[in-house]
Amino acid sequence: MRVNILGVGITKFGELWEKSLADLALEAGSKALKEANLKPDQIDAVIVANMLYSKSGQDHLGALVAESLGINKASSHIEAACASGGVAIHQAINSLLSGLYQNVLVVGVEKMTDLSPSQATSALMGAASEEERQSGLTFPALYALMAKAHMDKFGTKRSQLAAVSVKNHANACLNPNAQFHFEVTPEKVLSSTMVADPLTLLDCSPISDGAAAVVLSNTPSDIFISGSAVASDSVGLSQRKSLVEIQATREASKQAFKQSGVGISDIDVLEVHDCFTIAEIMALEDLGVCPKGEGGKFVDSGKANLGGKLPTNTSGGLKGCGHPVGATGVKQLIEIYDQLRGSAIGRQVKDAKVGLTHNVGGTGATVAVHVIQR
Amino acid sequence: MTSVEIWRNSKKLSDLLNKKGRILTWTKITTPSQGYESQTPYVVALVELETGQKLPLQVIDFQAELKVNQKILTVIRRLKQPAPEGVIEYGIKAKPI
Repeated sequence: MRVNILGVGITKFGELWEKSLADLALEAGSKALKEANLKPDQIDAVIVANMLYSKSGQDHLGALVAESLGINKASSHIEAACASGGVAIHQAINSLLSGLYQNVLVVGVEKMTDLSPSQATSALMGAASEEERQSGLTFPALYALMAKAHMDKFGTKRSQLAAVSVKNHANACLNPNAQFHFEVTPEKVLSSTMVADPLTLLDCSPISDGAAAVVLSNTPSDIFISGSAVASDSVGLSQRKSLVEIQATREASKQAFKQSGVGISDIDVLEVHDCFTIAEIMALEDLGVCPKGEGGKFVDSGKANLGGKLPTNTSGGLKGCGHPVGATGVKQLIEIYDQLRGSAIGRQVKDAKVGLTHNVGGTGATVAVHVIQR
Repeated sequence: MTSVEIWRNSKKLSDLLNKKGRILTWTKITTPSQGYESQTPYVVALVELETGQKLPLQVIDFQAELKVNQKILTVIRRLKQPAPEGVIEYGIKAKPI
C-alpha cells in the first residue's frame, strides 16, 4: 500500500494549564494543514483520536475539532484507549484506500490535567475490564503483574526495566516538544517511589496534555505509509493466553510487514508503546527485534540507544516525551516521519529509510502497527 | 457502579463464592485506585480458580509472604468505600488458605 504523508503538526506535551483541548487540536491541526499546503476545504475528512474527554461532559469531538479548523466535510471520533491515535490513522488509511477521500486529517488530542491525578488514574482504568476495576487494580498495577510474570519466567531484572527509563529520558532531552527535559540515572529509577511493585514512579509514563496531527493523502509525496494493521485481544489480562507476551502486537506487526514487504531487520528506527518500562521490553520481543525473554538484555546492552543497533523511542517514548493518550499514536508517526525526512535535529538516526510505530490500547487489547518508508 | 449495576452484579457473586484457587502472580499497590485509599497498601493477584476461570482478586487476611501457586479461597467482602448512590458494593476477594 502507499498512503502519503503531506504534513504534520504537533504541540508541546506536558502540563499545559493555559490550553484547552480545542486550543491544542487547533494548534496541531493548523500546523499540519499549513505544512501540507492545504486549505480546510480541501480536507475530505477529519478523524479525532481521544480517550478521556467525555469525562468533561463534552462528546461529539469530531464536530468540535472540525469546527475549530473550518472543516465542513466528514468528521468523526475514534476511541481505542491508548491506541486511539494508531487506530485513527488506520481508519484514515482505510478511507483513503477506498478512493472515497483524497485528503484526510488525523488529530490526536488529550487534555488530562483538567482532571485531578486520582480522577485521571481512575479514568484510565476505562481501558481495562470491569472485574479489573472492581479488584482495585490500576494501570501501573496491571503492567506490574506482567513485569512480575516476565521477571519470574525470564529472569528480567529491575535494572533492565530502569534502563528503558534512562534511555527514554535521555532521548527526550533532545526533543524540544517532550514533557521532560531531565535525565535520570538507574539508581534514581530504582529508588523512586514504589507505585505497584516492582514498578516505581520512574517506570511509569506521566499524565500529559498535547496534540499531534497528520495529513494523509492519495496525492504522492516522498514519505508514505506502506503497512497499517490493527489487532485485538481480550480487554482483561486474565483472559489472555500469556502474561509475558502481547499477542495483538505479533498479529498486527505480522500483517503490517506482509503489506509493506519489509521485515523487522529492515527497520532503521522504532517508536514503541512504553506506557511502563516493561511494555518496551515486551514490545521489542513481540515485534521480533529480539527473542522472547531477551528484551531486558537488549535495552540494557545499549542496542536500543540512539547510536545503537535499532534506535527505539528517539522521541523520548511515552515515558520521556509524555503520554497524552489520544495523541501518542499520531506523535509516534510524526517522530518516524521526522527521522525519515532528516529533521529530527539533535537525535537524527543517520540515513533512516524505514520506520515502524507500535501503539497499544490497555494492556494489549488493541494494537496498531504502522510501517513508514521513503 | 450505579445501583442497578451493583444489583445485577450481585447475582453473579454466589457462583464465585467459596471456590478454591491459586495465585498466578500478584502486586502490592501503594498508589490506590479511587475508593481504595483506606485499604492502601493492598495486594491484587491474578488467580486461577479450581473451575479453570482466571480473574483478578484483591488478596486479604494474610500474614506470611505470598508465593506463586499460593492456595486461596474466595470470600465475600465489601469492595471499597460505598458508591456515590450509597449502595454498598460487595464482591469477591481472595483469602490465602
